[in-house]
Amino acid sequence: MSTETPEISIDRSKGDFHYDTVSYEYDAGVGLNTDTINYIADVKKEPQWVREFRHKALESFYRQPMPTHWATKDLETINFDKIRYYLSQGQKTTRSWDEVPQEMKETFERLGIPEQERAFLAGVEAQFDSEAVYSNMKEELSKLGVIFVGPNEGLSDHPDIFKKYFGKIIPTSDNKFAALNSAVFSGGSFIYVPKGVKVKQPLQAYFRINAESFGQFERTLIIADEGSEVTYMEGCTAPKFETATLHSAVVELMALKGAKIQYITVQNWSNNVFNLVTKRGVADEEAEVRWIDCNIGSRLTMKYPGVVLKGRKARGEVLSIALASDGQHQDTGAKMIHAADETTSNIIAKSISVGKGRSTYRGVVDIPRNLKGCKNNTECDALLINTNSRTDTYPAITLRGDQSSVQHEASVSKVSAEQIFYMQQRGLSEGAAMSLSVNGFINDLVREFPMEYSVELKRLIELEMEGSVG
Amino acid sequence: MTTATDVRDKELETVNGFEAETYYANLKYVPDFAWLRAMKNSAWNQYQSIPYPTRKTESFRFASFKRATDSGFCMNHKPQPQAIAERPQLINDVAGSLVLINDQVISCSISGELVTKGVLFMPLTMALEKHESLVRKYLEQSHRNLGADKFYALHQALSFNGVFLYVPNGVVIEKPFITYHWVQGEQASIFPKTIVVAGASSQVSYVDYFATVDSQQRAFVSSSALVYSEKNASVSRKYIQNLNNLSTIFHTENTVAERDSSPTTVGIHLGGHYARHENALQINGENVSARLYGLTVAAGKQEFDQRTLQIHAAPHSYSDLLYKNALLEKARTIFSGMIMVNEAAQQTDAYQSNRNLQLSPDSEANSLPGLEILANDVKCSHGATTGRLDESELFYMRARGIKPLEAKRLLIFGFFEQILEKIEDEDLSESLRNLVHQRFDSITH
Repeated sequence: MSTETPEISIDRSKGDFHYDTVSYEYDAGVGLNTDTINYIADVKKEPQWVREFRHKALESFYRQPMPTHWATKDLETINFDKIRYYLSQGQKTTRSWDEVPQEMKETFERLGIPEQERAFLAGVEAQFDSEAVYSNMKEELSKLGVIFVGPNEGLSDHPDIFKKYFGKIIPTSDNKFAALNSAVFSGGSFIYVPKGVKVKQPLQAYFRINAESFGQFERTLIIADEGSEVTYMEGCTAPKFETATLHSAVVELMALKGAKIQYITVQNWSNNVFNLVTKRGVADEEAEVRWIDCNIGSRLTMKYPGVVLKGRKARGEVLSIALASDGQHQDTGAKMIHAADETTSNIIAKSISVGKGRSTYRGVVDIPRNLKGCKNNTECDALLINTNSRTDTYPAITLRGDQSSVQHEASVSKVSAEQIFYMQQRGLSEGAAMSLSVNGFINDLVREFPMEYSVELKRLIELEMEGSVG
Repeated sequence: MTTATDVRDKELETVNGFEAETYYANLKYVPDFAWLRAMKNSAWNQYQSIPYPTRKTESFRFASFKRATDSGFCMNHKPQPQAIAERPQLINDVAGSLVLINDQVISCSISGELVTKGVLFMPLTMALEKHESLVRKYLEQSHRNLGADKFYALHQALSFNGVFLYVPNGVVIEKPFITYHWVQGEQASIFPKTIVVAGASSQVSYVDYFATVDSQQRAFVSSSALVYSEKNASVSRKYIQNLNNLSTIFHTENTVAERDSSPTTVGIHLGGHYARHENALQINGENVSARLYGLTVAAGKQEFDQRTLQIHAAPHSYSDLLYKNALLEKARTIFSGMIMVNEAAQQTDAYQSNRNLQLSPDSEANSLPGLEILANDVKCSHGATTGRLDESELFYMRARGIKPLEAKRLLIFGFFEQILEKIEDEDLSESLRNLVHQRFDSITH
């Protein structure tokens, strides 16, 4: 196996374009201070409590140090004074595709958004820089009382339910980047699924960064009322600019009694995006929160989806795939906080490091009180393709009492020479054999993604593997 | 803005550890070599400048950092050897044995035959006087600590005695060497340093045994050990910690393995209010086969804070780590392990496993099994499990007429056995089995 960096031919071409002609009507300028916050709050005509929420968050952001005592020093290269925090063409999100401004429409059409909507989605939202430009949901769902809007509308049209959960699952001061998001958040989704409603087709949001040096800070809140079910998918792309871009989202999920939320992410940011995301769900009695997370893009991703298992028999799951190529660091993982009896959680994380790529698993499993019958299973497997690839595993497990059990297993391996030899003997090229092996490694996780995504994922990984052997 | 945590942290900073007076008074025990004085002075300065761990200190994650303190201890209680005269020996048939009370030599013996073969086994102070350049070589080797840097600096500054065991090339010794480290007196402290050097193609077995003379007197033990395993050497090293439950313990162990060598270390951890054990293995050559085992019986309000590191700096080597903890009453354990495989260390086989057996509703086990892998052609895995006794195994035994309590006891002893059976010396393994079983029975009865 060579130490040479393999040729990276990941399919970023699909997302690697941008429009210079977009004229932004609202622009908070470069850098971050209290004026930036006031500008955003003014533009959005927000009530006083939201403005105060933002200011408090900004203070918390300033107060908290960069978490470099455990995280990578690469974080220090982010220059918060050179980032643009708010850019939009206007506040209006349209329900009609025809009304979307030309450049944005072309952007999303090139990414295949309206096609997908027609094909298999129950609702779509498309966010371009700071604001959603398009949002639509099938009519029968609105009739059932399902809400799928941006946080602005959530705030103005459904204040009671919005205020009850907003910022409660992930408090402002949870971490430095959650604080940053809370200070300058814009865009994202607010979803409410009423009691007993089962949304069969997934709802989708598509996040797109178009402008250079821009920071996208969307905020998503999903509330699944008792006995309801919903699947949400998000996709992300950005063109490759000269300067680094920042994406820092906060996603809060609330699954009430017996509800099920499945949250699927396919992250394919260009590899100069810092992707620093806080995601957490709360599962009430017999509820289930499932994070299915796939990270292929970005320069540095730090993302540890968590589930707080608050009610009896709640269930949490994180399935995670990470692919780190040259110049990429996928620092991903999961958190499971067991706070009630008979709660169960499962974490399966698989990572592939190619070239000089580095993948890291960080996990927390916490059963802090003597609870009865809690179980956790964690498996993290890493595959190293080249001799200069790197992987790290940093789990933390706490278990109190003698009524529960946890098990954690991790392994690191390379594609076995015997396997490749076997396939070559049967006429496959070395590259094809490699790609087949790698696909086999993540196959059982890829199957958990919806069809369209799993096909796309396999293709992406095949492309990635090309030229990595030799 | 000052938060509650900041205030607490500040209070801690004002807590007094060892005073400069103690340091300077203690220097009279240290041989008057300029290099050694310089080493001590620099360590003392480090000790003073490094802050105590706080809630946020990553290397003390999950530990009750307030227990990680050296406050309220003193040095230089006069040893009273008659107090230990009646204590049973751990092993009878030995190659050499050394007894220290409060780091002061009570007795030292080595078989005459080994002396003629060039084997050195003596207190560190004596070794420094007789073999300055040899001892200096190992004292000046960089010693890795796994985060308890303040306490390691303290150890370096205040340590004046310990053990030096040197086995020349090709000498094979079947019988074990043993050192008894007794701590005597209220709030007494010891700082022993163990150096074991196994020359090329030699074989040696060495035991450090730590105990308090009185079960009611708080002791402070800050010790270190360097086990140096030269080419093709076979070293079997045991660390037996049987201090009372009021004591505070910091131990930093370094094992260095050169090519073709096979070092094995077994740690038995029984005592302490707060017992921190740092165990670092450095593999420098090919074809090394290294094993690290640990067994802990934690009860009462004890806290065992164990950190391990396996560094593979050369290809084609093997390391295996297994730490087993049994937790009773309100005990806490922390296992934090790390396997680091460097770019050069292709074809590494490295394993790390932590098994926690929860026997009480109030005990807490923390596990941080880590990997950092920079080479791709490796087989590495770690596993951590925490759980209780298997119900079906208990049922099986009860169905065969074994009473529930006895069945439990048997299963628990079976859990310990996986470590105890690694001790090849029968005499020693039998005494340790008794020690562990007695300890367990004294808690449960």
